[in-house]
Amino acid sequence: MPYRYTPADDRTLERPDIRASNGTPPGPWLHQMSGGWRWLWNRQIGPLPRIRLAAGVLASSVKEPGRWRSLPIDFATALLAPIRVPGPPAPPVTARDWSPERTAAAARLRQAAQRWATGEPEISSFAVIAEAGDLAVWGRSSGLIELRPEDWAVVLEHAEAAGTLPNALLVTSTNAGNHGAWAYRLGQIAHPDAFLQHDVAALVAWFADRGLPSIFLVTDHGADAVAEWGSVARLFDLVLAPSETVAAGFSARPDRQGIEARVSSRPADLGEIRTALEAVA
Amino acid sequence: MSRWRVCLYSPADLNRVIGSSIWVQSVAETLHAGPDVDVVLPLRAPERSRLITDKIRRLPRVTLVDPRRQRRFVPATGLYAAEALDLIETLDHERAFDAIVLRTFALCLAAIARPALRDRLWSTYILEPERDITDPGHVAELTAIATASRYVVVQSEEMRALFEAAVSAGRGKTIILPPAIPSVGSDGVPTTLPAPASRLFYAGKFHPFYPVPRMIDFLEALRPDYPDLEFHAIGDEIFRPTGAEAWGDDLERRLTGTEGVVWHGAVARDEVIRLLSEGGIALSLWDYGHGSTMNDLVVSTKLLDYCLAGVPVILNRTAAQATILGADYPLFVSSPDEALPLIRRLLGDPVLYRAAADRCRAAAEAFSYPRAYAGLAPYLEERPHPARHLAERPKLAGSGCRIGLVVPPGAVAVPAPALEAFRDARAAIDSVFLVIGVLPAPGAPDPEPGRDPAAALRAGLPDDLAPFISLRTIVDPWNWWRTLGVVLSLQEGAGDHDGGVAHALELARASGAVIVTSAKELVEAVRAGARALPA
Repeated sequence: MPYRYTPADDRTLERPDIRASNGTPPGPWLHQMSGGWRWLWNRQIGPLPRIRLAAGVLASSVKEPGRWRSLPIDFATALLAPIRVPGPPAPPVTARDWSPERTAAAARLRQAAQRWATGEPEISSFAVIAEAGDLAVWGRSSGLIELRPEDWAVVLEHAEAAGTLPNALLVTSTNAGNHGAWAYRLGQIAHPDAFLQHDVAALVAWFADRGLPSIFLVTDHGADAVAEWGSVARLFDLVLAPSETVAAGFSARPDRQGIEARVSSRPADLGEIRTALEAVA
Repeated sequence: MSRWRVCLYSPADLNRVIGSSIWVQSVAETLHAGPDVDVVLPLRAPERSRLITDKIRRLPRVTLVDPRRQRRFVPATGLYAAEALDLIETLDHERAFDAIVLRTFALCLAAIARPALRDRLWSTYILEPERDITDPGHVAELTAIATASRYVVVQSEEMRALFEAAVSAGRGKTIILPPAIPSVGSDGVPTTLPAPASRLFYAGKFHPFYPVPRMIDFLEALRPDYPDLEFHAIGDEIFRPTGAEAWGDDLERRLTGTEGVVWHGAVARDEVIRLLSEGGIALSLWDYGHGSTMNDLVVSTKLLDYCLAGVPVILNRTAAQATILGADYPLFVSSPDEALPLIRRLLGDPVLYRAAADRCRAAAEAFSYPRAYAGLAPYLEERPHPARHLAERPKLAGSGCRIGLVVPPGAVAVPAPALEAFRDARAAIDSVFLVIGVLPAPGAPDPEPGRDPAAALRAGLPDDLAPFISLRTIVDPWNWWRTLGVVLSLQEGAGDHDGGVAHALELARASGAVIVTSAKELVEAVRAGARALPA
């Protein structure tokens, strides 16, 4: 779209929310004079900062004879112009309300728990992104669809057409999920694939569109787990964390789109995920 | 010999000592580090304070332009964007610039509407934490800027990754200009580290994102045990939004009325370094309740000043700051409240103090003016093949075990010799991974998530290798090569590289990847790479 400049755009060039210290707020002179010595140092109206400013201009001009010609106007500007000019107020910033997403996430989790509680389906099936060790262990008791970045949508659509849609999406906090296929797409990595989480966001949305829950399992016990995984975990309906402290950290994110995080140890069996889900619901 | 003429303009008022005005000084010094570079710096507002402009003026190849050259009377607010751009065009008409470095999103958006400037425009720091990068309208504007600019300039590798993730038009033209600082030993920076001292420091603006009231709380909590402890606050820009001045008023009362607080006001940068060099503990704390998490990607000039002075810094752990100081730096915190016990430790543990100060000083050395200029020089001086320089990015952790294979657009199968070579490599090291990159057809749109056309090649992969092979259309070669330590290049015949494969391999070589042409070389390279490159 063609840009049309207007002088109002210049307001964005200032940081209007920053104004210099005034010593005291602008107000009646009597109020300020009653501040005693403080008025002399008032950075906006007091004489001493202004004298200091003008002296600085004089001193630097004296050092360089070439600038003597502009000295009168520079000196007058320093003495007379406002030291700071307040800009217009900043436009109000309204934080986004994520409650609709959280409500929808809670509903998906509840529905999934209800389906499992009625024994439907008999065998859990998860679409997963996890480390090789977890895949090997979990695959013994549950159906797993190991997703790959290049074709997860096609694979899931085939499963949907065949009536074998997984019950939920499960992603763990791993830097090399599914034998390295998801490397550099999760976590705090200085690579475009890991920023804005286009892949994972699309994956979570795919499941959400079909009323299926998404779960992020944090297996990182470190103090930086929240910083490392928070920006991707916030997309999921449910975050399972290894401790109360880590769970609280994830829950505290204002932009999370799921329910509050819960504590859960690394499951040896994905049936434990079902149990955790039922407890949440 | 060629000389390069650069225009540098930021709408920051250089009469105010704030981060953005110090940035202007820093960039002027950085460009001046190039011996054949002349810098022209139009001022936004007439000089009233010379704390910053005097430092710039002493650089012989930097020319300051008075804004009154554009209009007879310039108010204290300075030139409007249009007037500044008019002035830049006038200067350009008198003698053409080789590069026009403009800062801020709004200014660059106005500048791209001027065809005369576009081909030399370096749009700098246009990602602003206050703006929503997920907003499609804002992304469209960023795309317009990236498309019209010669280069987009960001301040860190993390910022570049974010920009390229959000704005595909920025791929292949986003370069890095970090904040820069004087070299150790120059401009009054002492070569030796200061001794520990009972001082806390904060330098910068006073905004709720920087919890200075909390820092004063720390002082008050510690003074019973450390009666000589002082808190030195440097700066005089206090946040006072209309209708909510109480925060600023309260802070100013505490700055002027708390025992042990020394408020220096606005001070020139070299004076800040001098104050810091007297020793103490610097506090660079952020409260995310009042600021965007995009700040995690920012390299703070203030942090570099602290590091240059050789004092330990207590700061929030962020991606960019962990890159600078190392993930194991001992003074990271997750929230400002965690700083108090660390301050107590530092005051009582000179060994920890010295170790942290050493680490900070060592980190600062990578951001000197000459080194920052060296990063810009290939683009400013128009050395051949700037695309190759863009590929010279640090490899990511884990790349040592990842092998790349490029196939031309329209390939229907993965070459069997490549698969055999990969099988041999896996027999030698079972952690290796093969990434097959398919070059895109000209004009083809970027693949949608989960529907990459390259996945069609999976059908022909052997079952034993398929789990360890990834397929991808290479839409962003510069970042793709960062994830690969070894590249397999199997010529099936002389001159058989087509569809851009040869160019892709040139970028791979520029990125530092090892190019191998046989299975034997591949195994040797993988063994060596697994040891040499980040694991």
